[in-house]
Amino acid sequence: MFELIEKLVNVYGPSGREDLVADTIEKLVKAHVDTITRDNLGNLICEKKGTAKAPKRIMLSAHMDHIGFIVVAVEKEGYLRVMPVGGISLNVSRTRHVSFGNGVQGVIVQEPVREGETPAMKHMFIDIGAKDQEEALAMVQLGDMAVYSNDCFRLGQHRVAAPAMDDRIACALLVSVLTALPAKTKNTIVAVFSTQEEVGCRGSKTAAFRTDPDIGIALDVTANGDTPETRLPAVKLGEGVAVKIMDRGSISNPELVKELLAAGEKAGVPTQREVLPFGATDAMSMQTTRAGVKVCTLSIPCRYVHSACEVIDLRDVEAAEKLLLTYLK
Amino acid sequence: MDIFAYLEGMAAQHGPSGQEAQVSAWLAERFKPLCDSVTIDSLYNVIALKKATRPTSDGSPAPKVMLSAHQDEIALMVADVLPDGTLRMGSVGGVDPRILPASTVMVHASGETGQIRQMLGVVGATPPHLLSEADRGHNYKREDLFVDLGMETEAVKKLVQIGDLITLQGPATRLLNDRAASKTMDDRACVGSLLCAAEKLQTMNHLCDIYFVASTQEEVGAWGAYTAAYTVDPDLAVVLDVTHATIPASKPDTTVPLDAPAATYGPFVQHKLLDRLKKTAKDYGVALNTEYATSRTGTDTDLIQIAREGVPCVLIDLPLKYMHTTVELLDMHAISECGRLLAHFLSGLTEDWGAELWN
Amino acid sequence: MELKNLCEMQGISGREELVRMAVYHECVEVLGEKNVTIDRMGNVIAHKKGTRRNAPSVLLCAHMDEVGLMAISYTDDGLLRVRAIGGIDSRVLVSKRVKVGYFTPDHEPLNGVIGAMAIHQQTAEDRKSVLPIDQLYVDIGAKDQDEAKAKVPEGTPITFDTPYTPFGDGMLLCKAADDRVGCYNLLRLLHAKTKYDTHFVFTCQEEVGCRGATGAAFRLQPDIALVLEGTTANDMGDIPEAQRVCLAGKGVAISFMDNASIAHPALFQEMMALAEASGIPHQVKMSVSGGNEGGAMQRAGSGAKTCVLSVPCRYIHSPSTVCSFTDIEAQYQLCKAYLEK
Repeated sequence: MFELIEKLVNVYGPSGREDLVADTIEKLVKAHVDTITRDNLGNLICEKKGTAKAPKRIMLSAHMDHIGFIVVAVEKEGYLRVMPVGGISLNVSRTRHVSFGNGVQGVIVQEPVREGETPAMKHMFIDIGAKDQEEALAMVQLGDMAVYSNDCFRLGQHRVAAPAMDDRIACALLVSVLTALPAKTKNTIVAVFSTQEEVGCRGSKTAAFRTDPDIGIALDVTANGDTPETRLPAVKLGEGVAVKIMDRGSISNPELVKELLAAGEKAGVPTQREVLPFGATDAMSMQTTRAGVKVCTLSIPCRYVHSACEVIDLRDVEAAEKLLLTYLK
Repeated sequence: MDIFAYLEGMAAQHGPSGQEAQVSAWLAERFKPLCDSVTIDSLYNVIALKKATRPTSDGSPAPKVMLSAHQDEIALMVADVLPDGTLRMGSVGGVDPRILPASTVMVHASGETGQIRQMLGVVGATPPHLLSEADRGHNYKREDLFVDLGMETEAVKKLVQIGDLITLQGPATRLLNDRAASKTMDDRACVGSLLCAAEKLQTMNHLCDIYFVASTQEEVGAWGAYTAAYTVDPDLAVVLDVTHATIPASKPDTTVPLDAPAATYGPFVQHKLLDRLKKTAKDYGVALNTEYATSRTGTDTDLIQIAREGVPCVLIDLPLKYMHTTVELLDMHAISECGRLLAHFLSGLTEDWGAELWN
Repeated sequence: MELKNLCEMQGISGREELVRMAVYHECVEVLGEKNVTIDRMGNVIAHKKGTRRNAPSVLLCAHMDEVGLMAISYTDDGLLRVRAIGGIDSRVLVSKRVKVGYFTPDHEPLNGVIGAMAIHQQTAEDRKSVLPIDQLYVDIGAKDQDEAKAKVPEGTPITFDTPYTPFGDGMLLCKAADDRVGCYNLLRLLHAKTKYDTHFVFTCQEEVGCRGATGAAFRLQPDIALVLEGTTANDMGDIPEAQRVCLAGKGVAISFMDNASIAHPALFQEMMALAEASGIPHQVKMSVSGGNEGGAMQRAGSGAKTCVLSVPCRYIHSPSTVCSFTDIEAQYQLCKAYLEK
């Protein structure tokens, strides 16, 4: 699993630029599904047809994109001005190593801020080592995006840290589930590797419309309440996959929550119940598609979400995989 | 229809946003005798169809009208069980923390077996004596409050799980002048108006197919109405929701009088349909006030209007005092007047209703 | 239709009837009645078949509505209380002229003015504070509440009173440039020899959340959507270069991303290359700001590839919007080149 995670977190793919991630995943899952489509928003939609007479359509969604910075101007001196793509936190961005899709490297820095002024994205710039505007523009274009540079490493025995763990960990989980599923399943399984989640669950909206599922399960990370001075949610790293009951974007279907918890029990894996006072996942857009869809989110607990070192526990991923395989069989 | 009896019934149901199974089943039974078919969909919307009673003159399909009032209520949820056995609360929809201190709530404990057991709880807070001068000057935030079940921690942990519902308590209370107070008048009082209209229409003719929708998840974004509108695919829609009636603290131009329904004007409401509604009110002697919405109305209208290729909407408002408390107060006469207005509006829809909409 | 007529026409969000009928008639004139419809939201949709078989379907849209005011109630002495429809900074309203009600064959709009307390009578505190819209009133000269109410029923639309005025060096001063310039170009594009199966959509209610575009996109489900917009130019008044968004007079602004959508990367590149190759003045919109119909177009149904092409507008959403004829022409030329290339 670690190798798969490492492979996926190291692919460049901010919101709106997920092509390379989709290419990587397509190669991994091609042999295990019946059809693969890419839609106008870049979603990778992988369908495995069910064998039942009237199979239910179960959509599983894991988003490929992660947060980043977009170049909006280039100063005469060659510095890049940027704006956030998704929920970037300034606090964890200062003096970070960042990378562009074409291999250009940079450092993101905050200029001195006048007293009384709140630091904002307009005070940040990226230094790519260009001597002036002309040289900078030969390296990057307006509209190019940078992400926190690859840095995937093990933390203790069971844990892994990397940028883009949100939500490549779920991509890895979904790839792994597709690979492990038996050749024939009763229900139709549509695995969607979605785009643009970090800017408002945009990809899953159109993917869900195309897929028209009966049941939607989002796979995503969730915050934790087990580090100093954090209180909610009551979710701990390493204590199992979390079944979401509610966040700001969706309220899970109560019956589906029960079924997933039961599948966890049957699989003999630890589960946690999650009530998150903020956040949203692809479940939000799936739930409100067409005539409405029963949804739930399975969350991998993750510390320091939206930073350059998002930490997960491999045992939680394993629990999620076993739960899903039990549920889908 | 005995409106107070209905209010007593509805206030005894629970149906927080996203978990409306119980109240939707109860409401479906109310619509069954009055409609041709009743379904509950995957988001717990109740969709009751009353088919046209007369054909269109040229044999074209009957226009479809969707009526929407939401059935869900704001509530709380167990976010954590603390070491002392008290419960920390999450919010389902916009619960005002000011109403919580010292109120009683119902905890729907799912236990180890998943069998729901209802348990009474009290919302507690640190007593004022122990607060600093500065903290006494502030309202409690939800995270400062907790639910006390009067049990030992061990017992609580056995019975209560994270994610269990906590509903507010507010039985229907009769007041002077046909006024009443209870929880969840927002918006089940308007579902009551739908039932009044359905009842009146039993003896009236209409050329439209009428879809009564008791929608869900309005308090968290009107999602039930949005998906129900996809299912129904209506030609036009009438939304019923509550609005603010005047109280001493009200600012000018933000409220309407308590004793009569109102209609909203503004870009989200189709202005020619609104004219038709106003004319109906005038013709049948229904007092109808007006209020404005410069864009969002904060009701099902906001999403029904943009379902599929779009739906022209009108919005009728039922005035209410003390919204999002457990003593939401309204005038029962206004509920039945809403129903009467709706029935005449629907019965008065003619084949050419859409002809003049856009010029 | 002349740009002058379009800009001076009145049509706040939800009350686009004058623009709608004018646009509708011109579409019918050019493409025939059977190719033009008004949908359930009040959008005007004109269809033109392409010359190429199996070409993707393309939707071009521009919004008919403008920001404005709406009368909501009356003071005892006959002033109108109003609210803004769409995003208006109330600081631009003081001491302006407005038209109350629409100009129709049987109705002349009333003149109104928005006054404020004389500077002599203001306290030091007054001078600092911004007057919010609930402390601003439209004065139509009515004697009392009854007269005001009779002349101006609640809900009456109110628009800025700004004549269409070319000025300076190739610049235009007007109201509602956002987005009548787009409507103007869309009407011109009806004549283009398009290769694609093309829908020209004149949308309503953009300024209150892109309501019309959402429905139209759902109905038409295009492969590609081009949004003809007016966008903020923040290029005057010693603004750091990185914060100017786009510059009036420097060509049509092509967006890579705004708050509502991320342009399809290949379509964005195609537009840039096309403008370059055709010698059409163009610029990249240097900001992730504002939202427009790109979002609605991209995400209705199973999704479309989108790109937003804007005319930079200074002092947008005010009674005095300034834009450049060069940019208006560039927006038209780029769309034409895209359809015909």
